[in-house]
Amino acid sequence: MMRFLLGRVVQSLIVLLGVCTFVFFLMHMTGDPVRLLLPLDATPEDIERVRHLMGFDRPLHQQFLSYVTRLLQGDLGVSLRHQQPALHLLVERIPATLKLTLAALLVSLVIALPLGTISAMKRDTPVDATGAFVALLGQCVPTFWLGIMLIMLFAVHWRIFPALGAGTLAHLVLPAITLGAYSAALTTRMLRSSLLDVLDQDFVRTARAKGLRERTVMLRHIVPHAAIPVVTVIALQVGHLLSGSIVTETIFSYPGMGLLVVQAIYGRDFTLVQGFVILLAIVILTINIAVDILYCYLDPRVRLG
Amino acid sequence: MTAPTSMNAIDVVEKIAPPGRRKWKIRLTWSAMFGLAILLLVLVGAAFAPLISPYDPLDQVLRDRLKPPGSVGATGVHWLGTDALGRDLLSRLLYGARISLLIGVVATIGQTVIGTFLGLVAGHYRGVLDLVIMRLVDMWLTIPFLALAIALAAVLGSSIPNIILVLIITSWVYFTRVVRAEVLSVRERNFIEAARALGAKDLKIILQHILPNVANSVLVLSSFQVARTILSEATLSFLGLGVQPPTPTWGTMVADGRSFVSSAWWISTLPGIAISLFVLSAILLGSWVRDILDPIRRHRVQATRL
Repeated sequence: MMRFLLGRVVQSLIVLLGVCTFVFFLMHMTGDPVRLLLPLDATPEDIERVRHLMGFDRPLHQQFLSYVTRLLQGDLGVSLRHQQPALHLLVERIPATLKLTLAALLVSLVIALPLGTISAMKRDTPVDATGAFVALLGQCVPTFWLGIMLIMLFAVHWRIFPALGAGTLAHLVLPAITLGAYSAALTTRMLRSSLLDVLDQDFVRTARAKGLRERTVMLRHIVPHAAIPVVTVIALQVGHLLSGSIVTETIFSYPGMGLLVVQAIYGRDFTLVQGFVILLAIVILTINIAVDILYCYLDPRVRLG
Repeated sequence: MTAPTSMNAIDVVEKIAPPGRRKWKIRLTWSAMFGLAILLLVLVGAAFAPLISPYDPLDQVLRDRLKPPGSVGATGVHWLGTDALGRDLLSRLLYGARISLLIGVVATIGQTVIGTFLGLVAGHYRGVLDLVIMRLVDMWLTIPFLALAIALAAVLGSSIPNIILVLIITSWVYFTRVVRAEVLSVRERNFIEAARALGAKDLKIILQHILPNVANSVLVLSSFQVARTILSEATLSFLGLGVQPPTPTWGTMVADGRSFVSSAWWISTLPGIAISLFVLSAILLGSWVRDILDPIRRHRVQATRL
């Protein structure tokens, strides 16, 4: 177990280094990063000064080395707009985004768990067809449009929930539905097919043949089995929800990391964008490792080693 | 026993691979027909936009700002209303279809070609190449797609070729992963060994023996990928990182209507419906193609229905 864990951590660190390298070269790909950072009407003297100040006039490999060194010290660079460390700015916004992400996850589970289960149990009935239709709808409606529609109906027309901002629980409802819809659709489909796979297995028939009540069969034999792939899918969606917060937070002017990053993009503040991508990569890699660990608790057959 | 489980291997093979002369029957399901109808609508709209759109999509008639659908303006009827600059929404939707279609299809072809190529190389040659390509895939899957697309679009700038490039760069991995996994199972089969024993070169084996065997999965994946790509393009446009105004795209049209949710519902609503329907059609057709190309699965579905 420890050896497996160590191996995974090392592997993740390699991937992370790759991500950082990629982000670094992305910044340099278009030629001069200073041109990206400064407004278009900056004078040549300004450009020269900033270039020297930020060390962009040094050879590329030297820049890369010092970039990696600083990253290892937890320094994501200084945001040009805010004149503050990018890490600090991002960390400050984490609680808000985390709250939104968890709320979205909750919405997605509240929809997907019953819908997926019922669809599987009533396979090939109108109930199943309805579930499939809802799931399909959730997959093809664009997130940004869903958010606007929700604002139009529930904030402008009926005035049930506030449209913009954050603070109270009511502020969280519409953004959470918007962000969670796609993942709800995905989880529903996954849960349904996962349950159907299990329903066909011999041990389920045996359990029924023994005369167990349907509820016992479901709870003791089917659910523990079907849960394994579903838990993985749900855990992996956290990463997508986090990056999806970019769009959702923009629509609802919700003051989280996503909104900060979008503003950073418009303000050409690339240190911040770069920091966001690296931070998210760390979160996702951590979740992946956590899923692996979770796996051996859910499925005792999996022995990591 | 009459249950489908009693079917012996030959029966199954007969069902799966009908004798050569028997004609392939492709059944058109209701959902596939619906998908085809929408696709046809979008294709016709995009192809003949200059002929059928009632107005110039860029013409601003300020007197006819924010007219609701069906209202009559100074220059005629606006069937789907006008936006904040008095531009005809129907005309803009028709021209917007061109962008969605162009970017959705071209970017998906790019993803398919690059992703499949890398998957074939990784799966066939294994070794260092495989290791490098798969680490690259791991890396790509770690960077959240949207964050990567947004960062790339912001750095590269937003012309149509650049947006296509962004969508190719962000999404080739899905093909590589699927193709590599399939190649790994195909390369162990006897006919590959036979080809090798007959002295076939790597390139010939890949193109003539492996590629046809992974082509089905690639085709299915790419039809689903069209849906995802259309959505991504619309999202980038919505955020202002896609094709720039005044070129009408569905994503920017939704964004245009954001400030008018209380006064002019149609501006955001209609292009959003267009995006959803188009994506729906791609998903429906994708599932249809998958069911046709995967007879084992289709057979299983039929067996459970009996």
